Amino acid sequence: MFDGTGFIHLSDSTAGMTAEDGLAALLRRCAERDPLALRALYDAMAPTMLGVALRLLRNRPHAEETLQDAFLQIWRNADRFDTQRGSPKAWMIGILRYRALDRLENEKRHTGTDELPDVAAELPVDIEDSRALSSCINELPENWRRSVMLSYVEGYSHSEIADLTKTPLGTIKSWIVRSLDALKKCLER
Amino acid sequence: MSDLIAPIPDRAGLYVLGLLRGQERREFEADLAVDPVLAMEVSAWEVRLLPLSLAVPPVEPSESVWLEIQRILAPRDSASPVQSPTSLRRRPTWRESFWDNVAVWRGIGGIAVAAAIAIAVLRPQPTQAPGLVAVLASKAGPVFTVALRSDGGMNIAPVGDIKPPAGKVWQLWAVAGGEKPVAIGFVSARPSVLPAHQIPADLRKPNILMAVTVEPPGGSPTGQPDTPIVFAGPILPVNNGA
Repeated sequence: MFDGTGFIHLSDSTAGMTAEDGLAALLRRCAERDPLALRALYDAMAPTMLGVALRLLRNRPHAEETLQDAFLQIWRNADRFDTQRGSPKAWMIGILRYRALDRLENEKRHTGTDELPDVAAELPVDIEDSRALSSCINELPENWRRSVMLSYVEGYSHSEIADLTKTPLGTIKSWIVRSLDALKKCLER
Repeated sequence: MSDLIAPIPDRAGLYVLGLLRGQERREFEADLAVDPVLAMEVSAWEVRLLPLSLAVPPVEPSESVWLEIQRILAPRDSASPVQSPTSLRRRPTWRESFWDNVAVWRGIGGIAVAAAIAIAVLRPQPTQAPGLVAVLASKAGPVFTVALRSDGGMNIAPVGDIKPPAGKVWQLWAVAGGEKPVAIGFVSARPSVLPAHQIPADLRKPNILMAVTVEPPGGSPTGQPDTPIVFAGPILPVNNGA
């Protein structure tokens, strides 16, 4: 674990919509091959994205390489961002996450239980501005919530979560499937 | 929610959580490339879970990260495009053009491949490894099928009756995202086998883009593609029951 603190504070504010619109405009300018727009996107998003990559990979050089790859991909695929379908932040962080997951898979890094930091238990998510997700996550039973956080935030696989929590694999899979179902229903309420 | 009846696993949700791994993930991504509804479900989950990513403490990157991005995107013969607003209207270098091409071909890939992948599956070669094929397509349709062999080589077969321009050859490149294209051989109007030793092992996997350019006999003198891609397609996993 690279920082040792478990708490997550969701900090994006109600100005989020405006920020998202600005990022969408920058992506459009990247699609038109405006390199200054890429720099602006980098300034806005790189620290957040590196935080996510570090949390998943726990290796700073690997996380920085993944960040670099992600920005190259963002530049090259900016014309494929569809404002109808998602938020620019979700799209950019998605690109980063899938590249980080590629790396986790290729290096099979999360393999030993002895190195697994046990931090997700402390992640009850204090979500100021994402109240819906916050309350929905907090409605999940503790074990389910922890499994979701260990997978999404920490990059653990089903079997790694099973090892880490000393829980049968089938139970972990069931918790995750039920968590997704519950979250979706809760967020649609 | 009921404790008695388990919900059907939400593959899009599992994918966004990062819990589809290996073959399961490759199969899902192949479906994703051709299924807009699935793509929307993935986007919806990415948005739903985004606050968890935004909650992770940000970390300032080293300066070298941006410098490296700049170096890779910069043309070799002028100032960085990212620093110089006056560079906005310059002509793209071949390298940028190549990468623009790759982006275009990746986009086309999903459509052309969905239609054409059956061709590769319907004609499996005896030595074909289970399930990795690329369909190299032009804008007009499939031109070559490439199937990975169990020995690491590639079976390459033309789909129709075409030839390279007179006095030129088709050079085959393997392209990993963000990396320089690697020349792995040539393709011709006849079926051929590319031996394994010509193909680096890390370029024999899903999502590597196979691309063809028209080059002088002997291949590109610079060792990098000098002309636009004429046909291309990504390596994709296929369930062929093999």
